[in-house]
Amino acid sequence: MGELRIAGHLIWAKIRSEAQYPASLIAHLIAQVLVLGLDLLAIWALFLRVHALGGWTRGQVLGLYAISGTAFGIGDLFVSAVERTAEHVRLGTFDRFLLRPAGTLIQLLANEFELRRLGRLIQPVVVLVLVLTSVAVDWTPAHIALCAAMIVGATTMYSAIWVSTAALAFWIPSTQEFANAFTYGGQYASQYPISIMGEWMRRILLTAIPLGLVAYVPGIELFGAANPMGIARWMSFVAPFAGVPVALAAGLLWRAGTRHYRSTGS
Amino acid sequence: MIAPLSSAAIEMHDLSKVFDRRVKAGRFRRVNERHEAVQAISLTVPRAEIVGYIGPNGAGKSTTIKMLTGILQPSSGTALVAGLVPLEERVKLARRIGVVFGQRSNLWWDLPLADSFDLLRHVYRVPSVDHARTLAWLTELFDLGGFLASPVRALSLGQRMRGELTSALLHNPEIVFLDEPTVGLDVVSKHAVREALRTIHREQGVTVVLTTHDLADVEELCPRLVIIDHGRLIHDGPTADLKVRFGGERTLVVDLVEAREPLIVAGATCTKVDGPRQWLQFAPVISAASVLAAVAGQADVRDLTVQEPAIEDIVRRIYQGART
Amino acid sequence: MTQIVGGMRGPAGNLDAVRVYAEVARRSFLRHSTYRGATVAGAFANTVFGFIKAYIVLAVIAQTGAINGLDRTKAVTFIFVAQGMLMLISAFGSTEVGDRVKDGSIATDLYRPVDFSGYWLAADIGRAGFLAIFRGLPPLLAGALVFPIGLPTATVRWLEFVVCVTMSVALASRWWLIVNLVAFWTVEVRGIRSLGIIVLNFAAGILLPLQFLPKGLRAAAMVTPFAAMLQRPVDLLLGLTSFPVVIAWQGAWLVVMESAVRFELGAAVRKVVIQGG
Repeated sequence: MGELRIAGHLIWAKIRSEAQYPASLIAHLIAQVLVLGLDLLAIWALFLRVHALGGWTRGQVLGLYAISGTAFGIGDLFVSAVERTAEHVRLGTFDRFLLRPAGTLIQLLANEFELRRLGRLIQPVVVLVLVLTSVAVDWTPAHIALCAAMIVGATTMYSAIWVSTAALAFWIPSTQEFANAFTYGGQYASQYPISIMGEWMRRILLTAIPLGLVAYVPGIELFGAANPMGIARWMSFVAPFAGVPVALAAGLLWRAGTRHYRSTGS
Repeated sequence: MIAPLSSAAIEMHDLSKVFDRRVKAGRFRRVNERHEAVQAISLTVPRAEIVGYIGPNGAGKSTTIKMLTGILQPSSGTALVAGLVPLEERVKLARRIGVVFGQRSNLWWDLPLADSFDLLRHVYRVPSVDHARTLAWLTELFDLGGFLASPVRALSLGQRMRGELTSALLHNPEIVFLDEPTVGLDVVSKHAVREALRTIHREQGVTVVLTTHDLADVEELCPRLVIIDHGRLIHDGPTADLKVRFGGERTLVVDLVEAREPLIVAGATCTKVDGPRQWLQFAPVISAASVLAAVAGQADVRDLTVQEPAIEDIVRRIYQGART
Repeated sequence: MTQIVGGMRGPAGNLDAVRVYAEVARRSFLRHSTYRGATVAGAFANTVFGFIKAYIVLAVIAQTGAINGLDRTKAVTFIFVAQGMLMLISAFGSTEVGDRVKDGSIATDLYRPVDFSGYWLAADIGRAGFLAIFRGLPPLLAGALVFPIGLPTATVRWLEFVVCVTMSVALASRWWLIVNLVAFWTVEVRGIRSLGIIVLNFAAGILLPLQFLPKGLRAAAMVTPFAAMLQRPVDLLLGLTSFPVVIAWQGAWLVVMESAVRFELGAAVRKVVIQGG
C-alpha cells in the first residue's frame, strides 16, 4: 500500500506538469481516439461483406474488441510507460530508481505516467458501453463477474507482456519494435475470434502469449458466441485468470533484469 | 546473510567489478572483451569521516560508488554500507544514504523545486515535522529561499546543484556519496557548496565520500584521500601526508634588498629571477630553514614565502607513476 | 542530419548537385544500416502484423470469394508486400524535420548550399534503399512460408514496380515534409502528425486493401496521394492495374506536393526572416 501511495504522489506530480501544456494534451487525446477509430472502421468494412467471422456476429466481435481494447487502454495508461526502460538503461538514468527506497518498476511507471495516454481508453470504453447494452448478453451475476474478470484478466495479461518485453532492454538494446509485435500485435489479434487464425497462431495465443484465454475463450460464454474449436465451458470461467502466472513471470524477469543492469558511464 | 556488526560506515573487501563488452572486430564480427573496472579494492571508512575518492577518468570511481549504493552488483568481493549489503538490501540502504551524481538530476524537471522536495518526502516516507525542520535548515544553509518556487528547468547550474544536494540530504542520511558535486560551477558557487558541506559534516556527523576532479574540493574538505587508477587502489592516507610521501619540490621565494645574480645554495636550485625576487626549489628531504639560512648568509633578505607543491602536480605524478 | 552533412560541408560547393545528392543518399543508407537490432525487431513486428491481417482477410474471402479482383493468393500477397512497404513511406510518421524546426537547427539547414527539399528527398531515398531490402523482404519471405504468395515472373513488371516504389518514397517524403513544416506556425505538431498518420494508413490501403472498402469510400481513397503511395503500386505488382495509370497518378501528385512543399518553405523562410523564427 505504501508503494501505491508513493506512486499516487508521483503520478499526481506528473499530471500537474503535463497540465502546463493543455493544448498538447487535448490534441493528443483527440488523435488517439481517431487512431483507434481505424480499428472500428476495419471491423465495420469487413462486416459489410460478411455476416459473421469465425461464427461471431458483428456485435459479438465488437464486444470482444471493446473488452480487449478497454483492458489494453488501462494497461496503456498505467503500464505501457515501461517501454521507457530501454531509454533509461541506455542513458544510465535507471540509477535514480535504484537509489530510492521503493520498487523500481512502480517508480518507473509513476515517473513516466502521462495523462494523454488516456486517449487509448476513451474510445473502447464508449464502444463497450454501447455494445454491452445492445448485444444480447444474458446479464446473470455469473456473467457480470465474468465480464469483470475478462477486463481485469486481460489488463493483467497486457501489463505482463509490456513488462516482460520491456525487461529485455536490460540485456539487449533496441527491442522496442520487437515488443510492439507482442503488445500492439497482441491487441490486434485479440480483437477478432482466434478461430479464424491458423492452427499455429491459435496455439501461440492459447499458450505462449495466452491473450486468447483472457478475451476469446471467456467471450464465447459471455456473448453466447459460436465455438467452432469446441472449448469446454468451464474453461471460459477459468481462463481469465491466466494473466496471474504470466504477471508473476514478468515480475521475475524484471527482477533479473535489474540485477543485470550495468549503468553506463565511468 | 547476516551483516556483521560494524562500527565502520563503509567496508569493502576485495571488491571487484568486471564488465564484458561487445567490441567490433571487423565489419560483422563482434567479440567479448573483459574490462576490469574495479580490481580487488579493500577499504574501510569509519563513521563521520570525509574521504576524497579520486582518480583519472575511467579509473573506476563511479563503478565503486555504484556498487556501494546498490546500483551495480559486484562481480566478486563484499561491501557493507551502514552494515547492509547494498543490492541485497537496496531499499533499506536507500533510506540511510544520500547520493548526488553531479551529471544527473534527482529532481523533477518541470516542477518547482519545492515540489520535488515534497515528492521526495513521500518517497522516503519522512514524517512531515521532521521534513519541515530539515528543509528549513537546508534552505538556509544552501540559500534556496529565492528559487524554491521556480521549476527546476529554469534554475542555473549552481542553484540546481544546491537543490540536488538538498534532495540527497532531506531524509537525514548517515552516509552521503557525492560524485562531482562542484562540476561546472563558478568559483563562488563552489565555495558556497564546500562551506555548506563542511557545516553539514560538523553538525550532523555524516560520513561523506566525495568523488571529484577538483582537487581544491579535496584539499578543503577531506582529511583523508583515496586514489584509484585502472580499478586499483594506489594511495590511501591523510591528504596532508601525500605531499611528504610523494614529494614534490617546495619553493622558497625570497625578496632580497638588492637585485643580484642567481644565488648558489647547496641542496636548492634557483629556478627564476625577477629583479630582487628569486625562486629557489628544494627537495622535500631538505628543510626550508636550512635553505633560508644559506641564503641569509649570502644576501640580505627583506621578505620570504614558502610555496607548497600544488596537489594537482602531486596527483598527476602519482597517476603517471602508476602507469609506468 | 548534421551527421550526414557534417563531413561534406566543405567540398559541397565544388561538387555538382547530383553528386551531392548521391552522397547524401549514400550516407543515409549507411546510417540506417547501423541500426541492426532495430531493423530485425522492426521486420519481425511487420511480419507478425502481416500474419494477423492475412488471417482476418482470408476469413472474409473464404465466405465471399474474390473481392474486386483480390482472390486468396492476391489478397495475401498484397498484405505482405504492403507490410514490407510500410517503412518506405514512413507509415507511422516522421518527426525529424519537425524536431529540427522546434529546436531551431532548421535555420542552418535552410542556409546550406544544398536545396532543402532535394536534400530530404535524397536522404529519404537512401533510407528507403536500405529499408526496402532489410524490412521489405523479410515479411514477404515469412508470409510465403505459411501462405500461397503469387508474385509476377516478368522482369518488366518488376522494373515498373521498382520505379513506382521509388515514386512512392518521393511522395511520402513530400507528404511528411508538408506535415512537419507546419511546425513553423504551431508548436503542437503532434496532433497534425497523428492526423497525417491516420489518413495515410486508411487511404494507402494499409488498414485493409482498398478493394475491401465499400464502393464510394474506395473511390474517394483511390484519388488521394496515399493510394498512389502504396495501393496503386501493389495493384500494379499484382497485375490489377497498368504502369501508365500508376505513374500518371504518382507523377501528378508529385508535382502538386512538391509545389506545396516549395510554397510552404517559401512562407516559412519569409516568416523566419521577418520574425526571426
